[in-house]
Amino acid sequence: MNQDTRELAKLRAAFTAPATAAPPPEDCPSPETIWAAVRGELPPQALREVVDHTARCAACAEDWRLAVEVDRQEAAQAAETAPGKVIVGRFGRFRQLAAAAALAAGLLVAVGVYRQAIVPSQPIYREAQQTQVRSLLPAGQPLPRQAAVLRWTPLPGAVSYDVSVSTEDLRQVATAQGQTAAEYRLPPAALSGLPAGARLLWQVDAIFPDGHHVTSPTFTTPLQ
Amino acid sequence: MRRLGRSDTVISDSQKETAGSSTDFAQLHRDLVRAVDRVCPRWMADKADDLVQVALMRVMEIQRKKGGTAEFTPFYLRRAAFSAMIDEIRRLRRRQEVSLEGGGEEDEPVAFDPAAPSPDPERASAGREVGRAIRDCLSGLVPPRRHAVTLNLQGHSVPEIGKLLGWTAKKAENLVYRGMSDLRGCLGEKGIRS
Repeated sequence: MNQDTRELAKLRAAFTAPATAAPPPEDCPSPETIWAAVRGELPPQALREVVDHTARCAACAEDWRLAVEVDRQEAAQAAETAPGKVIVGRFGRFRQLAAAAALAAGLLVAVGVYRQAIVPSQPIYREAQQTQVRSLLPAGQPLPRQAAVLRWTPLPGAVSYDVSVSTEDLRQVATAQGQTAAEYRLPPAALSGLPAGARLLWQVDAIFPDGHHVTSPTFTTPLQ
Repeated sequence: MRRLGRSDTVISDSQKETAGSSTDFAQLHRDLVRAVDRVCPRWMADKADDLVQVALMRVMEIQRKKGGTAEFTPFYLRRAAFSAMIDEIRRLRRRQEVSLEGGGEEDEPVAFDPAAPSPDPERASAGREVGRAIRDCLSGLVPPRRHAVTLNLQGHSVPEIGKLLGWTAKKAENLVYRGMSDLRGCLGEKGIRS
């Protein structure tokens, strides 16, 4: 991981550190506005105003990141399933209709798969799951000191990974370069000075043969 | 009704009738909990299940009031659940603030403490201090650079920033690069080295 990447990881970690005070809610954009902004559905000026607000409001910055996360999950799921699914109120009354609809949806999927097999199509979503590095550690579960292994989703085509680990106050804990496996075992000595429950911030840089790299979000993992 | 587990959801039989497919809600519940776990500080992530449950109950209530006859696309459902969840998170943040001010109202004592995400308060405080310095520096950047840097610090890639703000990839890259340079300079003046 180069110096710029490490620095960016540290700045991102600091920027996303939880704030102590919540702003008056009337000063903040509505959740619907943040949702629309993240999805690029706002007019340019309105979008810039929301971004400006998140630049000074840690709470709304957090709301923004939540919207991004939910949006990406939706995109990833939608990429795996057929579009056009509709949830109907009082669904239980129409089970037979639902079964028929499910059958039709299944047929649509089958047709879609067939068409995709013979007619390559452009990807729809900007963040396909396979282009993102994601943490494979169970959320919130403390990392054991003696077997502190960070794991992430491998990216197809990546030749190596650089890893940077720091504490919340941006002190570097460990770095590793040229990892060929999608995991990194932290040396116990690097963790010896950290108290139980300390939060580790870590980031992965996937390196590709042509030199370009894909940087993961900053993951947070508590230390046992 | 029973409480939610991470792999389960709480939907009573009567609610199922008005809510549509319980499978959709269960999936949505899992997605929202995962999002809170990944993004929010520990004090909130620990309560992700409860938080998301309250949000989804509100969405179901909206459906019930509409007589359960309206159609809800997964997109609509997700947006409504997100909004309800953020409302709930903001309510919790405000309760925390009221509690710290000593002006607690009728609610039970607040267990959430965003000021103590780590058992080491000094480290957490140092992290917040740098965060405050970054925000202060951002306010001094010219708007295009501020927008680019803010989104970059939020974890967006340069192509994503370009798409969101309607810039070419080259322009987005330039603004991120120059903005980050400004930010580093400003932090350096404050005695903070990244």
